[in-house]
Amino acid sequence: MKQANEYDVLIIGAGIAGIEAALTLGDAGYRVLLVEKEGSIGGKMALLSKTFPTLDCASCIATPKMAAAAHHPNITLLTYSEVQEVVKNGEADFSVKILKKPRYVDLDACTGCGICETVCPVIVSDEFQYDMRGRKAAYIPFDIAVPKKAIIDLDNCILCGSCERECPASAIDFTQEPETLEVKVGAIIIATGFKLFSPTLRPEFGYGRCKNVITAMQMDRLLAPTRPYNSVLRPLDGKEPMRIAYILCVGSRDRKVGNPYCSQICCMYSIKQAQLIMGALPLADVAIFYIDIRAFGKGFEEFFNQTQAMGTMFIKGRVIVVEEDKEGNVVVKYEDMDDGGRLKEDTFDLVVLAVGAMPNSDITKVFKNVKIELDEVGWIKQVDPNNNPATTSVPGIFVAGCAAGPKDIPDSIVEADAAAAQCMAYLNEHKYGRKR
Amino acid sequence: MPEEFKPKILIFSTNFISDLAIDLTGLLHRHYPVTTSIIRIPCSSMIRPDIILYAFQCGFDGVFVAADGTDCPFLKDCSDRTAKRIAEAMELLKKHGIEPERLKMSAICSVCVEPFLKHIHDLYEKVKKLGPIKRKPE
Amino acid sequence: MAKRIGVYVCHCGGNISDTVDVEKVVEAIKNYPGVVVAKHFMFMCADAGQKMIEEDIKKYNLDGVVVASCSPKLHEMTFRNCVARAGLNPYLFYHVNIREDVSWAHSDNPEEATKKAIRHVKAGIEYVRHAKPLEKIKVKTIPSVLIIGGGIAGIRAALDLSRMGVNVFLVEKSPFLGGRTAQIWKVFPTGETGKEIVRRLIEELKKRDNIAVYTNAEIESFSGFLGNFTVKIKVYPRYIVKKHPRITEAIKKCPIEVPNEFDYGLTKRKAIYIPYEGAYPDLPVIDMKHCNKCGECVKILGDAVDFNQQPQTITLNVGAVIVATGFDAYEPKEGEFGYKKFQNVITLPQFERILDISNNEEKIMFNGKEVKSIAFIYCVGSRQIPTGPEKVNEYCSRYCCSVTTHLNAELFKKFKDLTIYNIYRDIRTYGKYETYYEEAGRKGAVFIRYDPNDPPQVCAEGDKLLVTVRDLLTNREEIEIPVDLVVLVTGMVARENKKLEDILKLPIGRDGFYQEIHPKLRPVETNIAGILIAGTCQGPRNIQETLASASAAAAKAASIVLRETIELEPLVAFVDPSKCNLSKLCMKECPVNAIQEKEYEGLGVKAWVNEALCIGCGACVAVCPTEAIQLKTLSTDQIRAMIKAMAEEI
Repeated sequence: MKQANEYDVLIIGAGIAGIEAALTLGDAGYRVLLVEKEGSIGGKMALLSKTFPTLDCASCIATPKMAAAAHHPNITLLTYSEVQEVVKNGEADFSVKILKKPRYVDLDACTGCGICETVCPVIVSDEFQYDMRGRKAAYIPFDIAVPKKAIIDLDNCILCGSCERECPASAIDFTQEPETLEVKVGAIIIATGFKLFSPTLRPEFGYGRCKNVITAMQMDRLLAPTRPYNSVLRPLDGKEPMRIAYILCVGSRDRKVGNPYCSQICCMYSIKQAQLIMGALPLADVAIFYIDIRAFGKGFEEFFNQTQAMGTMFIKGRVIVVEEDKEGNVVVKYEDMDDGGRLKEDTFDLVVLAVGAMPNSDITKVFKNVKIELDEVGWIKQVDPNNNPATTSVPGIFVAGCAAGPKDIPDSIVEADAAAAQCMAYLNEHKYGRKR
Repeated sequence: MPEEFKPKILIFSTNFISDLAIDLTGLLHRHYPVTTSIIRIPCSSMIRPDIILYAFQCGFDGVFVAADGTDCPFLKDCSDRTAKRIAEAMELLKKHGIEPERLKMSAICSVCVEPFLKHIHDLYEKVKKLGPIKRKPE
Repeated sequence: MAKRIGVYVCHCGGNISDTVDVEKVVEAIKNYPGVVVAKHFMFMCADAGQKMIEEDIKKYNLDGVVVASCSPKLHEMTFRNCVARAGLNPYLFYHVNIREDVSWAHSDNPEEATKKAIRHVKAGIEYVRHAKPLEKIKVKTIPSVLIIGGGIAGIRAALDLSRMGVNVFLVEKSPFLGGRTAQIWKVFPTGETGKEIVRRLIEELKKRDNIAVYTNAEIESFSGFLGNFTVKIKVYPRYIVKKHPRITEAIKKCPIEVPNEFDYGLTKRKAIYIPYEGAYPDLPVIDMKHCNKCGECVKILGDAVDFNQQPQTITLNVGAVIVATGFDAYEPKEGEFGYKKFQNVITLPQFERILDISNNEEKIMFNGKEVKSIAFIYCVGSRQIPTGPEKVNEYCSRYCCSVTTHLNAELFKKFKDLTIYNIYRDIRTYGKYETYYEEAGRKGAVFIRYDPNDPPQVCAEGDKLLVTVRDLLTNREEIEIPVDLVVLVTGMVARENKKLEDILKLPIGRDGFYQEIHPKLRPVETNIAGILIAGTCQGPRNIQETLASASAAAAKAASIVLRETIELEPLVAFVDPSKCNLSKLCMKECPVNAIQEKEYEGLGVKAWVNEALCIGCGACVAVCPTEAIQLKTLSTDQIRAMIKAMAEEI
């Protein structure tokens, strides 16, 4: 791939927000460098099953945008790469160092045929399936990856050479070294998204302690078309769960774990999953333990009402503790707020924790001579929310999507376009001075 | 036992309005007769009466025109225009010995799932009662 | 006629293949006339699927492609671009929907669904067999954007476009900019007043030299197409034609007093007025509905007043339009929670005005009495439960919980000894706004949860109000709360704007708000190319979200007008002059006068379509006696071939 060393805009993070901003800027004629630390673009959205409230499949929305970003003449894509250093030299003038991690696969040669994956003898846990399945040390990140190219995970590789021997395109190259690129850019969009709350920080909900307690992200994978198994199965014994409980607000609205914010998406994704479960396991019962149901967006309330009408149980109550019984079922002890706060317990085959969204702002450390402010929880701070929400504390650096706080896909996409607008305006004021 | 008559219905849907409702019907997994076939057109006002006759001559037992109604992005009066074409088509059908009740037009807005289901079921049942077309030789 | 067609059937990861037997579909059509290759694949839209099609086009020298997958609304463009990349004319492609139209609609009957899929795919093949290569229509864009609505969304979008070097026309219906934001007492998260937010935007606006502002103006007519619209606006007279140093005095002198709509009638204004200090433009307006032409103001202002000023019609040429017309506050019905029955039942927007007007007071005063206890009743006009045929607002208004809990916190900050009750259904302080809920609770606000099927009752008790409610949090115990003031937390409703909707033919969703094409794929675009939507005209939103969507609309408008030429789909009619007998029926039928007479060499005068004007509706096609006029993207021959293919028994 031929690489220029100057771009109009650097976008850090190629989840749906980063991709959207790149496409909008690219369409308007700006040259964009889109950097993603994983082996594929698409972020969390590409791993989801379907999306609320329209129930269109996440891949169907994400994949065309992913493909369009990959093919756009004004967008240069760098996957498996990390921004290491940013220096602001002046307005519309940033120097950026980017580390291209070795894939040990020649991107141009690899056809994504997957033969290396088949022949690789090493099996490790698959992070893109949230550890519910194995992957090989030679692997393609996930089914709808863009680029759909292999990576050799050298940390786990035993250097047996099978992939190198079998690759029909001779794409395996163990001699690759980390490479540092130096580029100049005029503006930057931070679109690094969010991290999922680690449920082991709330041990009373049983994650890790009870086998049949999983996270909602794992459930989304179980329901996705590119799912690890062909059905919704519980981890302990591979049984199809007939009684499923959701615990909302795990790691959200919770100062004990340092996160007073509501995560904004958990109510709706849980409701969505409840609908999908009714499709996948028609006989299963779903109960959702909630504090407040936050169905606030366009079409959300109607979707919530529809899910209630379809038979999902909504129980207003705080879950105190969950325990595993002899059969591996999960006993949930909770306060039933609709019954005067009385303590009750119920047993489920599977418990899903609606884990919240946490900041993913480590990227701010690479900015050398400017300081990107964070808010009290650690999200990128929107310094002028009631005037220009895309701006950060540094002129020329903008924020889009969940990097600035938890939000759903439509809001992320709108914010990404807003950040794109601010880049165009900023570049025009400080670089191009154009008038059409 | 003779096989049950399952009428074949041709549906004309419009790209920007009624096809969205039909999409939505599918999205909600709502069922309607499977012996339907759908052709997307830009606006229902483009349907030629002779095309409707042609559909019957080819073997369809019913035709449903999911018109745009007032939502049409092209024409405010598209329903009126389409209605004229449909009236002409009905005359044409009569001339060829085909019951005009086999043709139905209704405005289906982009979220009109229930009306779509109702109209398509109604037409299906009606045509079923009428039975196969006693075709006149051409 | 295409003879080398590739057909690609998508599994959609099971969405299709769980019902439709995709292998059978491929089997059924692989020998269909014209088909040289037929395949099925897990995700056609994924990179690998698209690559496969591209490679096949080159390998088999395909002259037509059919993809059978999801709705064309999602991926028609994806695949059109895909075949174009491989060098095939993108119009030699047809997108067959076998997901929404087949697998999902007929999941109860896999066998018949498979047959329907085969019928649809065959029709798609016929379309491609009869398709002709087409070129896009190139249109020069006009480097200006019209923004309708001068609230914060309109101003934000105007500023962004202006900074990008794009000319902006900002048209506001009322005499002043700023919209409803200026009415708000305190705005989270910064605690600024609404006026302050508006003022900052206006200050920036004043510095721009490429934004033309028209207040008191309406859209009269609208024509054209993406990149090149012609819009007529009518600017109504202000009757004050220039600034004058004694304006304040003149306003004082005006003898007419009417309720000030800016303050929901809580204050009075004159017939000559500025709704609040700092309103922009800083030129008063004379409200002719109420003015009695007494001439008092003329005595002071002289020729700055012109009673003979006439409405002016101005024609604007623009490349794109942003609609940012905002919302209406829900107006409770008479008697709804005691509204209009008891004076001290008011709405949230009215309460904001009271607080703003009395901002310097140490007490909240209402009707001359101090307010020491307030009950907020939530979800008034939102989350309504349908009980009969009457349309209700089923949606949640999104902004109200955050605003009201924030208001709780701000009230406690400013006023001592206040008791606040929040009578709610669910507190929806999503995201960061949760901290306001937390703060309100910490500062002593009481929260009572009601059942929408057993809503709180408001009645009078002396000069107080008594709210009776069963609290779901304490076992449905009935409690009676005496308060000085009941504030109905009213939601947002779609704004009455029929004239504009008719002129622009704006798409309207089920809640009455304007409808985007797709909430995730194209969240600020409408199905009319070149018309974008921003802010609360699309649905309830708070200020921050409104501003983000305004910037997003600006970005999309920029991607149209920053390019000198854009390419349009060739969805237009054309005339085969050799078939035309000049019946002129098409010309009569055409709604946009796009068909004219033209001399064709050797054929004489025949009909001719002006492609830049043609909207591609096809109304002309239906009336042509000789089938001479056809749509480029869907000819009558194509329709016939598709019908024939679909009618065949499988």
